[in-house]
Amino acid sequence: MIAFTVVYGVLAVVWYRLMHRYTIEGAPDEVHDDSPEARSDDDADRPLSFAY
Amino acid sequence: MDVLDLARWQFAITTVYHFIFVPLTIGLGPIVAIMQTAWVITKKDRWLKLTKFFGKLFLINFAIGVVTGIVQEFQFGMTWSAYSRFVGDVFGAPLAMEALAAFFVESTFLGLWIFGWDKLNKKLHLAMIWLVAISTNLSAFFILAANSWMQHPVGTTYNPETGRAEMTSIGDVLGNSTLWAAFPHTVTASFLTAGTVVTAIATWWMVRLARTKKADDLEKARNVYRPAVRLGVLVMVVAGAGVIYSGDVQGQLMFQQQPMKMASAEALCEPSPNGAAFSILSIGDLNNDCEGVTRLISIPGATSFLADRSFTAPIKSVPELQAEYEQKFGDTDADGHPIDYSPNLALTYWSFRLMIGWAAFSLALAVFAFWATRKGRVSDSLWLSRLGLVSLATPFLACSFGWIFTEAGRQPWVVAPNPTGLDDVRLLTARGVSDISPGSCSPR
Repeated sequence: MIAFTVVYGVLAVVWYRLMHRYTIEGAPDEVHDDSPEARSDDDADRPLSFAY
Repeated sequence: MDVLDLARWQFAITTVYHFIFVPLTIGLGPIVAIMQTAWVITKKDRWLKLTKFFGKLFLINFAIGVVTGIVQEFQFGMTWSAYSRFVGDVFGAPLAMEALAAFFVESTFLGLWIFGWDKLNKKLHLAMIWLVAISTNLSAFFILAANSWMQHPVGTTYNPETGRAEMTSIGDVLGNSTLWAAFPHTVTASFLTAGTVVTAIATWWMVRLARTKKADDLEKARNVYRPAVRLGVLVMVVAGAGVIYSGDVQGQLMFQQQPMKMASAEALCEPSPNGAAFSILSIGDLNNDCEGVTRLISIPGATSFLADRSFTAPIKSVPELQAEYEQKFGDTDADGHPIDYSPNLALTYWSFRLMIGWAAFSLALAVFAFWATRKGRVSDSLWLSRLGLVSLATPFLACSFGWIFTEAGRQPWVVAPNPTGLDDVRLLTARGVSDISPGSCSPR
């Protein structure tokens, strides 16, 4: 029971630190639309990554 | 402390701890989905920023929630093996459905959402977070089906040869009236929790940026955090109304299905043939007896109204129900010990009031934040920011006390008898614990 409580205590610390860190960081100042349809349509000019 | 106390403490700690993360996951998933939908429709960057911001908090919470929940499954087998044997035939199906919804559908689509920003087209990627949100709520439905069956067993017969409850109709188990009151109450409470978290964090950021008086910060406060505050308030108002309505329905069902829990919620020790009052302020000790409570302020007839829609409806007191249960189920257990059919009155009485009291903080935040951001305003009120920070914890406390009341109020039963005809399907908590002594891992 003691070991179990310690494990849960550690989890609580991990959760709190992560939530605190990313809350303080706030919303990003800049965002980009990374979706495939938003990318420029110049794929034909790109070198092939794989060629057989 | 005997094995029953240890098993109860361990399960209680695990469950309350697990349920810190659950309501935020249930409520925040759909809110993040709404933010992303707003971005896809309006193409405004502010919604993408908010999706990424609150999406990150959602993922952290989701991960810890999964870890803390898995332990419960092991406890069923390790410390509650007699209970698991008794309910296994009924619980197998809903728990399997819960696992499918939570671990397969939810986790799969969450993975696609996390890694699919630059691989899936916008609408398909948006569908991923909606599927996560729906499956999170679906898994809550199935786990509540199992819990509601413990409060009000239906669709089941008792097999005296095997000593087990055996399911006769999955439709009845999933159509349980207790489930259809508990599910909306849990989900709306989860939305209230998530709405409060979104409002509190966005409010804190809005005030912080507004107080710098810099043009860039003010613009960010107005364009990014103010819309988040308004969305959070809207969620809180709708969810708050849902919590009140579904809680009222639950109260009426509780009066019919678990009258001892109703009497315990008010620590009702005297007969009330002309209606029972609802006490707002009481003093008393923490003993499980009727002498410990002295009511200072009460609303006459309110408990009767909550239970049966009449200010004069008689409500059976704890001693009356104890006598009734002794006649019906016996006054001693298999070992010859007397059975106390009343739960811990101090625990049920105060947890019921703390559930309502802590939830009221969210209402205060919703009203203040709505007023402070009216007509396009950006607030720099430190009081609003402070209320937001305090309110961050209060819906979690309200949820925890709500579940403590629900589970502690069912005692001494782990599977409460159904007063409408399934009396055979019942199990005392003391009979559900594993037959092992503290510190050992094999049967006595």
